[in-house]
Amino acid sequence: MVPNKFNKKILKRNLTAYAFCLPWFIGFICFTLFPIIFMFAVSLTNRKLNGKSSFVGFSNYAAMFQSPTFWNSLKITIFFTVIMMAVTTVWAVIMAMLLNHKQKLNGIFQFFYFIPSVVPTISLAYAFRTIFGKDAGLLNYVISMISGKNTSINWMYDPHTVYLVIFFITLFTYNTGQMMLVFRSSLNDVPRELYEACDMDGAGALRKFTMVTIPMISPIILFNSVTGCISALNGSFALLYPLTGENGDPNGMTQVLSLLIYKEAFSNMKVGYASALSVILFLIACLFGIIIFAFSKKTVYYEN
Amino acid sequence: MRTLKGKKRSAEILIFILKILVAFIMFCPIIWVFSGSFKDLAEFTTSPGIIPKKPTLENFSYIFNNSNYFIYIKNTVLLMVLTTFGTLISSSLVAYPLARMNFWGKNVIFAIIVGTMMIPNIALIIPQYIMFGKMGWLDSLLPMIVPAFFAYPYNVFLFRQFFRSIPKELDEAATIDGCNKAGVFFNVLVPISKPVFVTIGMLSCVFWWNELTQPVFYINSDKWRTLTIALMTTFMYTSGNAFVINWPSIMAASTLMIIPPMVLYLFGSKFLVGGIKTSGLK
Amino acid sequence: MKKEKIFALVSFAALTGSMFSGCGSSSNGKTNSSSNAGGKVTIAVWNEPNTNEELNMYAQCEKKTGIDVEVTVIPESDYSSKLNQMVSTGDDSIDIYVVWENDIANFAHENGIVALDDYLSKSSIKTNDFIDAVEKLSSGLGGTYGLPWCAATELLYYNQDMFDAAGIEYPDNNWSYSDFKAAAEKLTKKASDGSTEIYGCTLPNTQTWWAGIGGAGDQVYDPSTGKLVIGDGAVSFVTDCLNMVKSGIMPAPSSDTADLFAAGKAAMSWQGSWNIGTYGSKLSFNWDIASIPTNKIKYNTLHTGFYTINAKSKNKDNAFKVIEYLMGEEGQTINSKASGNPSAIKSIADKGAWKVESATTVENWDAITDSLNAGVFGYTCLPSGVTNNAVSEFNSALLGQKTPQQAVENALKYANETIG
Repeated sequence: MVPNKFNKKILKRNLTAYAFCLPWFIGFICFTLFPIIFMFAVSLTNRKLNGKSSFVGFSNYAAMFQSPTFWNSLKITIFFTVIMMAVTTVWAVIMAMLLNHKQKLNGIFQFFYFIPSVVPTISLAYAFRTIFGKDAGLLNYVISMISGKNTSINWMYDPHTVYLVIFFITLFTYNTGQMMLVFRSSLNDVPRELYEACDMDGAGALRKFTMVTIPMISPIILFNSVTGCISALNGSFALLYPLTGENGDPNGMTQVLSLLIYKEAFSNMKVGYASALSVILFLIACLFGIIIFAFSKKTVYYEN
Repeated sequence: MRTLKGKKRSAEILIFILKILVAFIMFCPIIWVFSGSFKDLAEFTTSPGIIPKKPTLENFSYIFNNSNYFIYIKNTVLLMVLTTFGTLISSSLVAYPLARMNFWGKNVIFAIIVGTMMIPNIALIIPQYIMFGKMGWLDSLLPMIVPAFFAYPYNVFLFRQFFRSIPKELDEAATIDGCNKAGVFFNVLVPISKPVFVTIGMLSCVFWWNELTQPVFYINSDKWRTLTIALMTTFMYTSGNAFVINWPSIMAASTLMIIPPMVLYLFGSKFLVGGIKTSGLK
Repeated sequence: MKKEKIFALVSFAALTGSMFSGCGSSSNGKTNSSSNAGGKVTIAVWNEPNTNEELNMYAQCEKKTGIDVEVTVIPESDYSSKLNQMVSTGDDSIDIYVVWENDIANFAHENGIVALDDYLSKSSIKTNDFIDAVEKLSSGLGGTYGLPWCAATELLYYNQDMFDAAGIEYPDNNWSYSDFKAAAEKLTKKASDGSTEIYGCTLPNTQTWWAGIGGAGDQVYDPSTGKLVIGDGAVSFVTDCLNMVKSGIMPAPSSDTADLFAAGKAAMSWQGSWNIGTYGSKLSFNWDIASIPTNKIKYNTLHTGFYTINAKSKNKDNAFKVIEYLMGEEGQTINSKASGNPSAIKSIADKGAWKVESATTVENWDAITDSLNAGVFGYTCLPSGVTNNAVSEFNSALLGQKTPQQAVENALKYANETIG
């Protein structure tokens, strides 16, 4: 028998802890758990934007799986997320390594490298829409000046260049800047001795990078790239909606799921169908979440 | 020996040039926005040069005279301040027992918090939209402000990571002095954690200053538009023709929006950069 | 007990949140008029009001009625969706909605807007004098729920200087589609490297695509089923455009948004009649208008919006006073003068206020009456997601990503999926 007094003490401690957790508990139930359940429920109705709805079973899902627009969008979502993760990670490592190379003015360089991350994405999107314009875009103008020929590449609408442009623009999102700073500090944590040992072997810079740097920061790379996936899923709307519109021009090549959800809910007023799409997006996010947990075990991240 | 030194120096120069090049690429869009805000529409859509041919302040006066610019600023600042205030209080409270106490279900709660961090907001926005509609909160800032008072998982996570790094002896000393758990939190942890409050506060401010997605879904009328929404609505089109985008006015409004985060970085880079650096690590 | 402190904090947090529910419905800076004793009415529209005070019907309305009129501009791309949201949530911040063709029936059925019959019986507005198409669209609702604010159409705008230089006769209202294509080809000017300097015609915009498709023989919108009806006509029109893009007569779809016609880089353009008011005397060349060239049939899309009163409005009486002014002779005249759109009330339209004074080079005013006669309510009755998706498909055909046939099929498929 546990003494009564002891029991009381534990109970009190637990209650205190729960009292502290109360805001999260309410928030989780009201703004996360309930919406998730509600989303599944709404996805089984033909709810319209005006609130009228009736139960239709799984017909939203049936319609969705037959819709080429949906399959295209699903494909684009995964493609966009994975490629964005890859290019932003590589770019962040490049910037971090440049900044970690001890030279004068590194503080100023960091300002320039990081500032695009904290300015509004929508401003950047509009800036790039005009930089990559066809007849009056900055880039075509610069190319014309350099080459001496009149250049009018249709950057944003040419199927060959649109992804080039979109992924270039993702280099300017918050995610990249964040990763760059994280890489800066983790690169600094790589023990000097390892590099010195390489020097003694007469290894070149590239070899040092592949043999020491990459393995040493690989846990961070993994973690960052997967969290990058999540911010790509989440941030794609704010970036692409002002850039290519709800139809993901040209030819739906940039229509990620979040754009399609917005379009179905607000342009076509099909909230029930948009909920079914949201369920899919939610499941994709869960999938990435599971991947994060799988990776995090290796990185000794949650050392409870 | 000399050639090796010479090689090293040229490598240094090369790296420096590379740095300048990257800086130029990263800053280019911002320069473009600044320069565009001083052009008129005809120049903007015909001659793309960085230096405006006949600089004009028309775009700025257009913004101030033809829109409720100060209402947009008021809304944005209100949103920014209240969400930040809310999330600092609630998230730090929740993070405390997770970092410093043992209680039943702690690991489950923490796992759920980390799990919900992974759910992109956009996946739940449709059900939340319907829910807030039922509560009569649409077309106001409430759908964004109220959840902030109930702890954002990401911020809870950041606070927890920081609290764990503070030596436990401090708590014990305070407990011996007669403080209970709440006393320890307010008298010991909060004063010592000022830097992390500043950091998370700054990150939150930057986020809400730039946030587009949620206002796009929740805001309808002019009186609750934030600056980001105004950018894609009020400043977007020229009067009369819905197909001609008023780029210079967008650029001028963007310029005004870009400057505050830049200033914040200049004065608070210690907190901002330091905070982000640790956010991805343990 | 320190625990109380925590609970106090939490409840404070919750309270602070709830405090801001309806806070600060602050005054609108746009209408700086001295606060009138007559109350305030808010109106939602998608166009910026005219910057010239004399041509701003809302400003004039304030003067005449003594009611403050506050204008909330919601951009066209979001307009229908935002209005639907406001109606579904019972928003009361807007008193007068200017409702589009595709929404008015729904709003009426949902009781989001009020029947105006009681007001109209005591009013001077001539409801029996609307043009036929308007009458048809608003019949069957069991009452009058909205009053058309104007009757706009689509027109061919052309640069007279370029026609003179090329020695081509100006288009008239009976111009055929083949005349148009031939002229567009002749008017195109190429640089030495083969790129186009001056286009024969601009690309159709999201509105005039449908004029072309309707003209090529498709029904576009079937009022009995509410569906998009396109087929051979759309294929042939998209193919024509594709050929013109390929040969540099029309520009390819791009992210550029400059008005090529206004910039003097395109000789012709199909656009809404309201651009007459926008262009006015601002263009640096002589220009005129004509009916959209007649292909298989003479087709024109009518555009309007309906003044309606929000069922949740707290100022219904004042709102109707404002509508009464805007629908009256003076309000309609100012609207016509500012925009170039005729009134939907025949006796007022007949007076010709829509012959925009500043558009001094325009002579062919008959084009407007001619277009009105050919006008039907078409694509505007469909959900905007469907029509925008279709235009996106057409554009990808012009970029060579798919054949016109495929583009039309996809557009139709998506429309059927969506409308159900």
